[in-house]
Amino acid sequence: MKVARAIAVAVLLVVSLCALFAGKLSSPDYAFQYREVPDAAPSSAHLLGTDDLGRDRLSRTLYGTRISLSLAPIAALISISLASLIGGLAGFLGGWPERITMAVTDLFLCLPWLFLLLIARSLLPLNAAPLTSVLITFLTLGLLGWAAAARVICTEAREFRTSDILLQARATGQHGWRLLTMQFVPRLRPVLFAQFLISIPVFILSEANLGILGMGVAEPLPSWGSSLRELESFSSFSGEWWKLVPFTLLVLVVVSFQVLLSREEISL
Amino acid sequence: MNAEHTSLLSLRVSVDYANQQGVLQDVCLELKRGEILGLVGQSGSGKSTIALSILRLLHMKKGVARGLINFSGRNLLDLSEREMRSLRGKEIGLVLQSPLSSLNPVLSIGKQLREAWRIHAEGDSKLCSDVIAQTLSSVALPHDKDFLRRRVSQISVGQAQRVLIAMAVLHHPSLLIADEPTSALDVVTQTEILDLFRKLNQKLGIAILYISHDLLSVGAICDRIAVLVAGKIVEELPVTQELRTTSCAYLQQLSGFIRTP
Repeated sequence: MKVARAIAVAVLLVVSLCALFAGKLSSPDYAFQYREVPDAAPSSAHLLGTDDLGRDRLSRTLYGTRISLSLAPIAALISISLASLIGGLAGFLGGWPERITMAVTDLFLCLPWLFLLLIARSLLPLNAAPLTSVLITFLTLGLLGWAAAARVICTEAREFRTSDILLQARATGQHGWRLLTMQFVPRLRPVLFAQFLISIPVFILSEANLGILGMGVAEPLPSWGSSLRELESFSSFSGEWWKLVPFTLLVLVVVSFQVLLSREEISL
Repeated sequence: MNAEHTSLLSLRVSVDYANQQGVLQDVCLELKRGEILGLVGQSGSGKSTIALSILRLLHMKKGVARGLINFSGRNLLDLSEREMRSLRGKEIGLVLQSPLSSLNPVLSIGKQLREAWRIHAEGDSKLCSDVIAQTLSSVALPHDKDFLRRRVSQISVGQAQRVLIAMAVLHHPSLLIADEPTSALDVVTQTEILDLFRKLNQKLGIAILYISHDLLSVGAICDRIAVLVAGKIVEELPVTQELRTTSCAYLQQLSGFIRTP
């Protein structure tokens, strides 16, 4: 297990470093079209070849990694903040606020996540500027993904509300905001961290799902989702292994997160 | 009148919970300064409810207390929440049954003690460390940095109970409420903790409301015993030396009271 964990950390580290130095490792302009060599096989000029518009594949993959890997955690942060607010408040108040909030959360969890995402995303402008489309995509992910985490946090908050720890702290005179931040927040931290880690691969995959359907990050900005788009049919990549690189990267990163997670949960 | 014999706490309360009426029915208790009063009764007879109503924390269990709780000449039920907060931990300390579930598992012991100190004291950190060290040694615990850095999971149950007691007597309260403080401990540790309570009572003059269902331990340290059955005090009697030595007859007598419907 230790070895697997070390490998996972190494994979994530290498991938993030590559994404960070995308400009150094490949052509710095991911959108430049080399018109004389479209759809080329790997060569010393283009290590992973070019796509049908003549854009450098390596550069697009690395910049796409940068976008997916940096925005998924941000989306996770948004959804965890929402979840803490909603779940924490419901758990602390108890009674009917808790019942109503949890009913809404359950309803939210019943809706099929991917369809919900598709509907929400298609209601929002699809022809927005590339950068806006990135923001819209990940904001949608963040705003829709809070329900599961809210349930967990609500349970934690309810447990704390009825615990002897709170009773003992109140009996020493502690109260109010300080009591919350001193006694409850440190207790919640491992749970929040685990929920945060769980959400990241979910959001990476969801973005890829949206991207395949052309509802994610808009061209010419690359992302893992849009890189996967050309894998629609088997014939389009048979014998051309380099087209599978973004997909392999995606699988590697998601698997690495899962390996880290299983460790995290054991240590909880 | 000698200060030792003035009344510290006298109460007459009835308590209802949201889902259960008449948990305490006109319960009268009187506690003198520096006295140890044992409160015995079966599980569910309302012993802990009395502890919570004195601290006015009953609302945490959805309960409402009516009546009169006179503490040092003030009726606690009339105080504002702010005034009540300044009493909790400073004038009245609480020790709960299970130290492992009462101390925060993710905070170091030192941090929890400091937090309990700074609620009622000004923020000189040197003074704070001194008081904590002094209090810890008075409950026979080490007070080196290594011990203060530990968490509840890294010390024994007996040590954790001592930490809880240290936290409760940090500000030298005049009343300590101990709610079944020994029932989670083994026999040897129980005896040590009982000795500790007796010592705190004699050295610091802290009055103790000792709640327990363990008649032997109550008989060992209490000056008087009140027996609570189904929300009513059915008997109050002093513990004499004679009673202590003939503990068998005394136990029979007490359990006779408890069985009375």
